[in-house]
Amino acid sequence: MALVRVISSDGAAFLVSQRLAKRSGKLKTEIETFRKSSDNSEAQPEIRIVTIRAEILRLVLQWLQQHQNDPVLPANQNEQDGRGDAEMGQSQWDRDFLAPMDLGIVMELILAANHLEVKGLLDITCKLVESKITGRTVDEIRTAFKLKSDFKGNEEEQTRLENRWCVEN
Amino acid sequence: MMEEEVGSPIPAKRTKLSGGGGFKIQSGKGEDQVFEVKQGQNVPVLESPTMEPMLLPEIWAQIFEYLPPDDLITVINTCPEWRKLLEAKRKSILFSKLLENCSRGYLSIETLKVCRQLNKTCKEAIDLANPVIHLIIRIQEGMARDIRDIEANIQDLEVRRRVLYCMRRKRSSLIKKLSLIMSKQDM
Repeated sequence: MALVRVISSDGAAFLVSQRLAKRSGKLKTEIETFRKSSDNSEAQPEIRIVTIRAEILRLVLQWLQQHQNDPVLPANQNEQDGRGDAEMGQSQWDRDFLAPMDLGIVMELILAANHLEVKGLLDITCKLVESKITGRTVDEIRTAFKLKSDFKGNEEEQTRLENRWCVEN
Repeated sequence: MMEEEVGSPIPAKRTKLSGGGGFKIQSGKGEDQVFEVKQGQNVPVLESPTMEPMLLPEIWAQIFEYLPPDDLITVINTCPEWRKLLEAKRKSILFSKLLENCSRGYLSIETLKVCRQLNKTCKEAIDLANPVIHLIIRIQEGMARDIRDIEANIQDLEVRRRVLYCMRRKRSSLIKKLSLIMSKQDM
């Protein structure tokens, strides 16, 4: 079985089959680039992901392994379809996978899924964060995500006025 | 049937943690597996940035105050020590980055409008990721400016009313079209 070594930003390495790794758009491109530039066709590709730490990379690989037989969703798929997939495709395993996670970890997982181009994982994690934001007031979101307002003077009022126009018919 | 055993990840040499155990997943026939490489298998390890230069953590915390969100995310991923320093701010740092990268198609227009009011970073991230919102706002700004000009320069009230009516009708039609585009993106 052809393997690829994926190394996290903090130096932890994961040996993954190339078939599994290629379910990530980013890893697929990296493996193909390595093959083109390498003289030795048997050489094991080594990919360093400098923006993802081991804990998060492990979760992405764990999700990929669980979903290795699912059809691959194209990264540039229309968002309209993507949202539908997120709702329909979320299995009990996915819910159990995300349930114990702290919101900060989920957010890091979203950025990792986005960077590694894992559409299915991006869909379910974005959906989870969306559910934490939708229907909440500005102050509630600020509290949940520990955000501070840095608007000066009447900037906040100005933004509110701009918003009024955004979807006015 | 899958049998799964997940241990703590192999630590980087610089963290000086003991043990390891690795990450191991045993799976059934035909299933691909993920193994964490055992320590000492010639895995290149990044040097800890906390070693040089030697600065006190509170000095690093002050330096981080000046960094934009993109660089703060790099800092979070650089080493456990820096990550710990930014732990309290982690959610807010990640949140604006999420809005920039993933808001399109996942958040409704109403939610985006609420998020634009959170702070400047969030507002900029949403406008960057959703150019249509930005375009509508620019049209509205132009319209407000034109209304001021018309009111200042056209004295005849009836003519002013007619000009404003025509202008509003034209701009409203454009704004409606753009709003429709946004709604389609968001469905």
